[in-house]
Amino acid sequence: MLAHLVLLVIPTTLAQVSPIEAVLDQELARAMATFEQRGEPPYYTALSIEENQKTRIVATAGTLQSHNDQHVAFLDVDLRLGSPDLDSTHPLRGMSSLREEARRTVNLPIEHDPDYPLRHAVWKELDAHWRDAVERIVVVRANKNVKVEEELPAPDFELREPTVDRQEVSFETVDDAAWTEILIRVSDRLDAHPRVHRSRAALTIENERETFVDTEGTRLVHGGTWARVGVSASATADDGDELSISRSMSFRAVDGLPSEQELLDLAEQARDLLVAQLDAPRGQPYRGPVLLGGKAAAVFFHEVLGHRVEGHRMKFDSDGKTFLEYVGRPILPPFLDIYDDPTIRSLSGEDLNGFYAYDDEGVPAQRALVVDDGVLRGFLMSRSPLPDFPHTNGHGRRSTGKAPSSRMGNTIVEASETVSHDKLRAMLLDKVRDQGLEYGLYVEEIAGGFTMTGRIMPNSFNVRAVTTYKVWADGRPDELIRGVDLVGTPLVAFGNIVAAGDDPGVFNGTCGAGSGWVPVSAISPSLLVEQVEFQLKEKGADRPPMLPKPDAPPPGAQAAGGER
Amino acid sequence: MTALLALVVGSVLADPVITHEQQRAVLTEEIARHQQQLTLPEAPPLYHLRYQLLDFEQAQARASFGSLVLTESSPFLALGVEVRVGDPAFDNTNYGGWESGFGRLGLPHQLTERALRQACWQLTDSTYKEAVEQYARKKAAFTPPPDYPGDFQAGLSRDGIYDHVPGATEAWVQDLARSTSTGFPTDGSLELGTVIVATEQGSRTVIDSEGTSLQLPHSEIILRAMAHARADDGALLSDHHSWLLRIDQLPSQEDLAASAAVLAKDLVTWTQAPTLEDEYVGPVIFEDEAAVDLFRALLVGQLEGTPPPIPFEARFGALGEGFSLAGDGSTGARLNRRVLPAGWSAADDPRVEPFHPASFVIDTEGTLAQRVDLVQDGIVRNLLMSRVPRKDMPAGTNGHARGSLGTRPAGRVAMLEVTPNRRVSRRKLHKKALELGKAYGHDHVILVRRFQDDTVRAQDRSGASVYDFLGDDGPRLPPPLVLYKLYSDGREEPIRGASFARVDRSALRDIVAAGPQVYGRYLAPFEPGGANFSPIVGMPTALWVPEVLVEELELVPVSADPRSKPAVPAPTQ
Repeated sequence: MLAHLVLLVIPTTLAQVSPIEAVLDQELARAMATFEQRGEPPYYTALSIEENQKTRIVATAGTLQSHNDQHVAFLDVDLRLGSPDLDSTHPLRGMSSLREEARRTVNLPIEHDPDYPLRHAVWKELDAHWRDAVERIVVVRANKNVKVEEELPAPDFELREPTVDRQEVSFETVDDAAWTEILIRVSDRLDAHPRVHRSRAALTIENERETFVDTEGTRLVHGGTWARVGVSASATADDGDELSISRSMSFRAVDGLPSEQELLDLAEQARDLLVAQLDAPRGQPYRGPVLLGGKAAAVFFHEVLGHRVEGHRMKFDSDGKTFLEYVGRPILPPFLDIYDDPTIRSLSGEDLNGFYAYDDEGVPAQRALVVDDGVLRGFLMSRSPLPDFPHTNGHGRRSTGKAPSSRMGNTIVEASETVSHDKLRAMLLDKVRDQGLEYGLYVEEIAGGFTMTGRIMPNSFNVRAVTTYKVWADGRPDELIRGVDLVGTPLVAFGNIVAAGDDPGVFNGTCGAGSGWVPVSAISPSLLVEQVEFQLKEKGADRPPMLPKPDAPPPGAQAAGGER
Repeated sequence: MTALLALVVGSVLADPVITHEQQRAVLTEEIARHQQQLTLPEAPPLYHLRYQLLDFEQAQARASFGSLVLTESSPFLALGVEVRVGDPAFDNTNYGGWESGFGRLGLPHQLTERALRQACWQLTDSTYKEAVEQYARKKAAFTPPPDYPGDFQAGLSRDGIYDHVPGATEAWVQDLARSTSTGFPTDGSLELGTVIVATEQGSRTVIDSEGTSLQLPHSEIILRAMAHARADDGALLSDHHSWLLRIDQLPSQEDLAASAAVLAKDLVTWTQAPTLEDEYVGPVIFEDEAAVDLFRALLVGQLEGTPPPIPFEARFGALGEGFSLAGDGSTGARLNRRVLPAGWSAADDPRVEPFHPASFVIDTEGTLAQRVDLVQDGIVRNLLMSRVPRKDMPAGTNGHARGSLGTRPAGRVAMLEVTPNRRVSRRKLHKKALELGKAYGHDHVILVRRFQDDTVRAQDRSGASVYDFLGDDGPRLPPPLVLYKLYSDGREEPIRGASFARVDRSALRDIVAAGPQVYGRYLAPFEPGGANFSPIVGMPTALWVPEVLVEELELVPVSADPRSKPAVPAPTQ
């Protein structure tokens, strides 16, 4: 009965309905009428259109590599047959799990007058989803019938009250020509060393507007701008190591973009660090105390904790469910709190990648408490409930063509007891001496990481260290090393955290998992960990180029212009 | 003011973009520098080095039912390198695997001297090292027999600068895609009504260590209008119109839209046709583009003579299968073998229609294109060759090397004409077929005028399989679209739901009559024997062939999937 009722919900602000929303509304209603007639109506259907306008300018070695403008639109359909307790999206086990997924990338027309092309595309996809769901629910029921009960039986979907919010979303642009010139000069600065083999300076401006309608009556228009500027330099070391240093900055509006001088400074830092890395010795496998800088600690938490508190994973019998039985129990030192809050746009003066107003299931973003005083309190939840966590907290996310699942947004680690960086360093050396070691390690910068949460492969993590220093117990200057990564398993690693700094670091990046690539942020103070393991990083086998890098011609050596 | 000053100063300091003449000078210098200095201890000498620089303007647009779906436009610049170590009798090439001495690298849109020199430096260095190792792999695994024809036909060089061809603007491409797609009806009768327009104009520069210095024009426009319609039993029918032309040779936008409308109308009509009920064995007539597709599927591969690479035995299977020490090193092409009926001939001349996108005067390896008389009296007497030698083709290359940048070019068909010894009218072709049909006990014969295109069918949501004329057991014919039962009273009864089974290359030898000459064009896969996965990617190729009557072929019913039929009625305008 509920399914029938929710179809009658009418949006309250019809005056603001865009042509796109009108098409979605009408096609949804038309299709639902047919599905009713056919006797198998979905109990929930959502349609969303993502309009994306992107400009990307890339410069290399003092010239323009590429300049691309892209305007695309994508359709997503979430159609559910059955009931919230068991529906056509229920995960299948055994051979049935090999069925093709219904979700896919669907390009839509970017012109909407006349609206027939848009209407036609929506019709075709919606109809195909229903036909797929009609088959899938039969298989789901049989699969459920013949397999053992799942470890954690739970409903497939949470029904909700509708939300209506149509925001004005304006698309921002920059002066392409001026930025091209800036990036060319920045790439020139990066390239200005004979040992830098490849250089790149890039700017990406991405504007997105999402129109969301569903059978509960939710009607949303939201979106925003995402700007990212970065530099990278790479080279092959004499021992074959492929080294790359990247630095980037993210912004939620183009007026936050840095000045040319800031970018030139960034380029010089990256270039100098790369050259230093080329001469740095490779590290060795290591077990001992480690000081993680704020950004490194943030990625550490993203990999070690974040993916393991994504609620939907608890439903898979193949998942390690590291923390499922730890709810209400301590997993971290009592001075640490962790929450994920996508509603925070910026922190400590930095815009956050993980900011959003609504998730990809039409749910307002919310702060989700994960760890309080070291005690695990909850999970990141989408509309796929768990027995003890029946409600979403606005973390259902996906990239184009994927089904949403619970994902991180802005993962924030806060410490109630902190010490200064100098004090942390002194504590590190104490631990080094206590353990009878010559040196400890300080990881200043990381490139990202990955973790495995399943049961067949080790339930471990790897945080990809970029800038790591040996901190000598005898007072020698810190020594830059390369070629080692931080590895471990979550429960042991968390038990070894002994202190936090007063210097939160922000990591902005993009996280890939089952529901695709989504922008995320992680924020953490620096951490002292009593014992962590490092393993050797993979190494390239190719020699560096045999001939010297060609020199740049002196400015003005040739006539500008030519026939192009 | 500070920002303005910085911009001005920056503009003065930026490296200038180089002209085509300067590009050629830089490439020539880099060849000399690398040939002189690039050497590893105990490595065979670098005896041949070739650069190719593609400098194109590309534009592409996709539209459905009058609205743009995708559009993009940008320069495309890329550098290809061919590095040969050893000597022409035995070098690193023609051996399986991908580190074979051929490489490619994207270039900046604004190409400066520094950027081009750096690209040459990076690409030549890595490709040279790969070539040295590939030489050792090949040397260790392969002992050339006494009559091994060698790996490269050296000593050919050529220079020349040819006119640049003006390009199309992004707006023009968008307008064309949009306006052509307005021809598709908005009455809900089609599941797909899409037009893709892709253009590429610019130049290709070839510089090598033998002194070749060429700058060649490049111009290609591809327009594909594609439609899908669904029959009541769930069967998907697809059709397309394709144009591969110079911009100024395209029909008007109105004509293109009208053509799309006719395509759609005919396609919808075909969904109403009855399905083939029983297997058919007997004479089959191929007319219009179906005749082109027949020869494309069964003849073309037998005329391309570049031997496949010697296989590299990887742990997961051989890379480069098909080489035969005992034979002539090719699985598809055979000299002195009958491929067509007695009295028939075939010749390929890439220069025959100068403004066709398939036309070229100089091939990918810098060799002058030639007319090659391939088939005489039905027997293969010559093959299309690149500079990879073949023992039974001592004359070597005949200017038919084609391929994508950074891969080994091979002798390929460009503009092929098949000529029968005698032609009859369509009426007589039909009459002859019906006479032959009686021997099989038929009161009708099968007439096919058009096949579907696998890459067009693959535009379906379910993603139809892409075979491109190659099945597991050899060549295949794609699903027919315009298919009739032809009766003796001249009645043509449309049918659908049929597929050709067990088609063999020898079917061409069973041609019993030829009709009027027809013309067709298509995009051939870059790799010989490969498959196309996109309706707009491949090498433009043109065929002129006769309509034909084949004595015996087998046609079997194909059942449709009723689950594919939409539940919700399609929207209407």
